[in-house]
Amino acid sequence: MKRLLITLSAVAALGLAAGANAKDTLVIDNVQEPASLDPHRQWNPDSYTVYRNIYDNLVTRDAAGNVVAQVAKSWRALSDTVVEFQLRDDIAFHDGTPLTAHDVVFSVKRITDPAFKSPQLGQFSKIVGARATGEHTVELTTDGPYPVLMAQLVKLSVVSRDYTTRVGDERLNLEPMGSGPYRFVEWRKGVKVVLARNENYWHGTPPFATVEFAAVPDTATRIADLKTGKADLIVGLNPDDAQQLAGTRGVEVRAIPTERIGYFMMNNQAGPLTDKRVRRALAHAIDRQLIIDALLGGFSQVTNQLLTPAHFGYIEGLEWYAYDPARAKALLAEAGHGGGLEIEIITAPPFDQRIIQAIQQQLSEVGVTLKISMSDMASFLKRRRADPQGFGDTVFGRWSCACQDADGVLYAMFHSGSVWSKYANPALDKQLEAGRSTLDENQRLAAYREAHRIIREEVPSIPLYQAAAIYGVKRSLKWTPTANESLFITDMAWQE
Amino acid sequence: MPYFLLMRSAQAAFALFGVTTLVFLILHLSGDPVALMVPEGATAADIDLLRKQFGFDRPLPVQFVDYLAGLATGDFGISYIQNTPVLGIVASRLPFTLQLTAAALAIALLVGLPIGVLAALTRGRWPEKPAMALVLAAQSMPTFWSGILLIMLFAVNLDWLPSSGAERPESIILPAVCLSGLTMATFARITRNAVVEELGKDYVRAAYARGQTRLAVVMRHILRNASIPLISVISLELANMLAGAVIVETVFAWPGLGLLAVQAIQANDFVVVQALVLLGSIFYIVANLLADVLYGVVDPRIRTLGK
Repeated sequence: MKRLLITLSAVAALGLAAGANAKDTLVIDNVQEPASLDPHRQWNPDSYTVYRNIYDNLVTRDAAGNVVAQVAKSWRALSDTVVEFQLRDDIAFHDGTPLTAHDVVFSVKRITDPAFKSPQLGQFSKIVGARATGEHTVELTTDGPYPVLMAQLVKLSVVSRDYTTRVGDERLNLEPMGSGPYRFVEWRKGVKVVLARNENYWHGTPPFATVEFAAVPDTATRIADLKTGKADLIVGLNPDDAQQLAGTRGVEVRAIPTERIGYFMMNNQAGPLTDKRVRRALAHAIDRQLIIDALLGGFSQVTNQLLTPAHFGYIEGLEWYAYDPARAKALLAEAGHGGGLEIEIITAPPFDQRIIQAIQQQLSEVGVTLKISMSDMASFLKRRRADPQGFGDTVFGRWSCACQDADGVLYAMFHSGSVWSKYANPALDKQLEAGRSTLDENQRLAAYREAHRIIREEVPSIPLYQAAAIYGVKRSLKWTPTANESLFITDMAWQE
Repeated sequence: MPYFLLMRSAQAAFALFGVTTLVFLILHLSGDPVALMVPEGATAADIDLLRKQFGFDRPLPVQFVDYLAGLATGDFGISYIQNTPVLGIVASRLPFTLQLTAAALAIALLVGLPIGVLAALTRGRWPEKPAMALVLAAQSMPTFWSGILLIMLFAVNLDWLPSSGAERPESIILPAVCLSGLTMATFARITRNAVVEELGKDYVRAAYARGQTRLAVVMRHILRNASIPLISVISLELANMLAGAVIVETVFAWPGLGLLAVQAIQANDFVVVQALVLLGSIFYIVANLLADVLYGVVDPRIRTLGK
């Protein structure tokens, strides 16, 4: 009994201590624990929101979304395919060693080495050469003019060459060591990752002494964590969850339109949707604003092109087909489907099924039956990337290239050579190729303007909305979410 | 007895091989982890390159033999997603699930057994009604719902216990209570029926006739005989609890094998899923074997038959 009492009072004391220090520790509830803390492996929000605070990137984006300096303080093109980067000379890794050109070159070579098996390989595979030309100068060579290079380098975390080669890949994953604002303290598997302030950070003292990223898969539990004060910031809410938080004192909902595009894509190369009139009919039949108001809580916004304002290549003021069921019926009758039409949509559990059911309902009002084929994610992806015969008729998705550039969306979605495309049009291919092979921004914009026009004309896919990211936040935390869904701790602070 | 153990081991080995084969086939039919690993927009060339690097381009039988050869030497492989040996990943999570299951089993026994006895002794009178109502409630509430209710009440409203995680010793209370519900109900019902059955038997009347108190009769005679069906149910319930842990661990963010399984299945991390299924099967087989041995300990008549 005495021992029990001692234990209990120790527990209580610990609890009190935790309470007293709450302001020094920021707790963030992610959905899952990181798949990896090696920044050159998995690129998913549960992983990168953590490791991007441990590492610095070659370049980064400012609040307005522009690519700005981080490890590289300036850069210039030596030719169409070679860019020279001047690095800061005052950055040190957490073990005290300076960050030099060799670390940047090592990082580029590591992530682009096929034997390393990085899932991010495709984002950097255009880089064919990396060379240190001075202690703090690096030259990157691409296999042709590559306008998206800087947008991709926003995601290139710089690891230490010496540390990585010394401890090996496995330990780098378990005990990451970078130059970022936070240093790694502990990864309690399945529970949380603990980071501590890097007191010698080159870009000012980071705001909190300790930061914890917890793994809490259940949304209701994350909300409970926020309400009880266990967590200060929770991710991955949907509009209904947001309503639950609305009445709670001391916490609030913060949402931001992201660079994810909700789209309804059609098979242009097989089945009834090869007929442009049918595709246009579907475009007229879907009431996008209603879906946003009824299902997405008004957090998302209608977009009239397959890009968001956060992308390069987004053109202001484009039009899309108005919601007009009568026009849809007329077009369907014209195409010989006056008596009804059945089409299939392929999907998987991660996609919001309410939206698919809403589209199903809206299409049924113009005489189109949408048959929902649900499978697990891996089987779904197999069909999603299959040839047009194996694909099915339609798919709903939320596209993110994490690069905020038209090339990352439109090329993969519509170029005839892409596994994601179910569309082949030499005229569009030409514009998409032009958009990725020149560094001239005006030429690129002209190409994408023409691409948007062709897509509007041919309707290979219907843009639905710019998806929102919704967070639950302790009111006293000063922080504005960003379109790229990053959680940079240096952007946060307690309000006075 | 040695013959008996030998037979059971052979059966177990056969069952394990079957499970391994089945899981391997089912997992590989749905595609490989590379499909889920690459970002949207990855080119066919990128995907093919990665598949080749991981060896998924080899014929399925070759991959299977390779996997079996690894297993035979105790090598469970390296997680495709986490890039660390599977054995280490599973070992780091196992204690949490064992703690949770043990705590839940203890709660289920400590609550379910007395309730069952009480319900049997007060059959038809008022104490049976609330007791069986509690049993019915525990049995019908799905854990993903009762878990959230427990969190709302004890963490959010009363602020007595943490809402999630495993940082503090008391963190285990809510998930263990949640997980124990269904099993507690089963134990209570089984105990009630078994005790009711024994109550009418001659030896009970004889015991009363010898002037023993009711408590002594129940504790010394009835419970011992009533525990045979309970033991076989416990081993089955252990397996149910492992399955239930998947949901309970997800709701409470308890870092056990269930949470790991969900994560691994979502990412198609084959090797981890395979190791977990194998572990689950071994656990189930051992639990059943233990139950068979325990029968003999409790009831000497069964021991004699075993010889």
